[in-house]
Amino acid sequence: MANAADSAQHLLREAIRDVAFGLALIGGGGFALYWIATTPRGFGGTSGPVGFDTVPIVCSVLLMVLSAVYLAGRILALVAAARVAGRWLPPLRAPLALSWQRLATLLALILYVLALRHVPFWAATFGLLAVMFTVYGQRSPVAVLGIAAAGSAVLTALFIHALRLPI
Amino acid sequence: MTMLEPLIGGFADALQPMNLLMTVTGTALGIAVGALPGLSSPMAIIVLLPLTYGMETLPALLLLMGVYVGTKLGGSYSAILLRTPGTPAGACTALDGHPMARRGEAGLALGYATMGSTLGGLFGWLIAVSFVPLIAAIALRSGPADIALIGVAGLVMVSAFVRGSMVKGLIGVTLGVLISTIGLDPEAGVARYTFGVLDLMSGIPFAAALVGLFGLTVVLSDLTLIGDRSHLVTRKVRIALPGARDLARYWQSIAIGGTYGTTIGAIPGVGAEGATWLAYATARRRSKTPEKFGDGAPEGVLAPEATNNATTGGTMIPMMTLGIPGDGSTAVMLGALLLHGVTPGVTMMRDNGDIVWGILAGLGVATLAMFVLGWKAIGIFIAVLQQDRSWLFPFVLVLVTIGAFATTNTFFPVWVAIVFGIVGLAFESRGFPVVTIVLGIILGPVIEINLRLALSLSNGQWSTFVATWPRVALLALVLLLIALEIYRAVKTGKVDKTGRATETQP
Repeated sequence: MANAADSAQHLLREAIRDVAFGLALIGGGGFALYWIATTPRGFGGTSGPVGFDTVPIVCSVLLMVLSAVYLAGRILALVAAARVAGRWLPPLRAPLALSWQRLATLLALILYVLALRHVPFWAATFGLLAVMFTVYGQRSPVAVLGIAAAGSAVLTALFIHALRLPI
Repeated sequence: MTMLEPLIGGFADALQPMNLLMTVTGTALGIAVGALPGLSSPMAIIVLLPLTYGMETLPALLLLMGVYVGTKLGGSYSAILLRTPGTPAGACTALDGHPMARRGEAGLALGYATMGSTLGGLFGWLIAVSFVPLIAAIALRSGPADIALIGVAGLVMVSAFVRGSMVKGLIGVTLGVLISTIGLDPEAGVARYTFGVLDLMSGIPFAAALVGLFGLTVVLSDLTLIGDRSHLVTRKVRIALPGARDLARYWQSIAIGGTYGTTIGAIPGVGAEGATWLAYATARRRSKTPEKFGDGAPEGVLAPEATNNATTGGTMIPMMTLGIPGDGSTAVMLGALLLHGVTPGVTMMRDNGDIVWGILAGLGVATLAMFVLGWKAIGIFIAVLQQDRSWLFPFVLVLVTIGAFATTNTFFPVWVAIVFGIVGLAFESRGFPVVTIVLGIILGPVIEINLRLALSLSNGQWSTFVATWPRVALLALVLLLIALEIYRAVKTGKVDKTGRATETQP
């Protein structure tokens, strides 16, 4: 019984996410349409029926129409899932550990890119590797620091010295 | 004779020591990456891309080609030994490969997988070298209207055959085409979707988008696999290659796999995943002992593995002749070609014939290298299965950064890659294959430029798109695929009303 309830809650949660995604797609298409429609034409002309805005307009409209079709299907699925689950909103239970790891990955990557402007490649790379090994669950400081140092050294030798990448 | 000469020239190039080294290295890396569940072929190719920037075009492409071929075999190792396919296409191999391993025939299952992959790969290669020059010659006579229609048909085919629904596929390709319009319009000189950012004037850096969609997205979506290390595998597994008599007994499965793999692989965007299941089902239907399928039948390993590797030849056909990638890996290879100054498309064979033949010869060499590596060095690749991804993913993050940075030696593409990584994660988590976005980005400019050119040449007459029978056939194909999808959706809707299905997929 508990499994069936969990499954119903899961379907409901997924259906809600699908609906939100469909709405975001329609919004994106609408924004793209508005932006291209209000873009100044400039001085350049076009030599035929296909102007600078033709493909973007066609794609924006198509994106909205297709997203509406997708959304309609997902709303039907949401209604069905809500009937089975007996409620419209599932209890808030996100996979916190996974979300935390994803956020940490993105944050670390952004900080790494920002750091590369000010810190030598080897140092920034050592820092990123050590932090990410730890975030992903490695607990031995010797292994984490050792592999981060060795990895950073190899990557620096390869990309900075051998391939002369100006990073 | 006309085909043999350039092919021999291609082999002469591909067998140069440096080129051979790149092919073998790429193949070995590919097998290792393919063996690790969660790490895909496009991702492996994309993280290796920065390494190739300093290389000449052919060795660079051969390294990537080796990875492409190797991952196909590597995916079967984890499918057979862990029942967790390293690549989506390997899932079918697990059905019979894993039962064989469980009853103590792991070495034999791996042997069948290696032989099936090799023979299927060689079959696909033979078809590719036979058809690429023929189709390239026909494609060269195509006008802008033909090319625009081929592009549209390619996108619709991608949408029709990718996993999930056609609506999802169409949304992906439409978004991809929309993204491809970012930048300064070449004809009117108007800035489209640049939002005042100067770096966007020349458009979205294509390689950075690929790095984000295939590299960062995979890391972010596969974090669940961290710590998923199996202790079921030991280094003691020894491969046992099937004898000639066994292969002769199961020739039909290999032939089915080779044919399906090459044919379906040549359809843009379909890739190996669907082809393996189709070949498996056909091999079972035609087998004298269908009841053994699912219980460890060698044919159940041979058919999907032959299919999987035959697709490498199939995907080369649209890529080399039309500049249309057959799957995600060839999409990344197209990006690599562009970065190395080779323009993919109908003129590629004419303008860069030596590169095309070198790549085709390299495909054959990589397939043979895969056989030798799979036969002699299997212990190393099986040891890879024991590795925890928590050590690997941080390195991928660094390589993703380098890969994006190296496209223009500025940090702007790195930010683009991060944005695309997040977008890709959102799409993947909702079941939208990111490969559709990539193909839209690739084919978008092709369609737009040729659409304009075709209308310009015909004085604005849209009837130019139905002026010849091949154009009518292409349009009919597009309409047929859409009509079939609508029919399928209506039929599924009726089934839903009877209460059988639980989830509606538009």
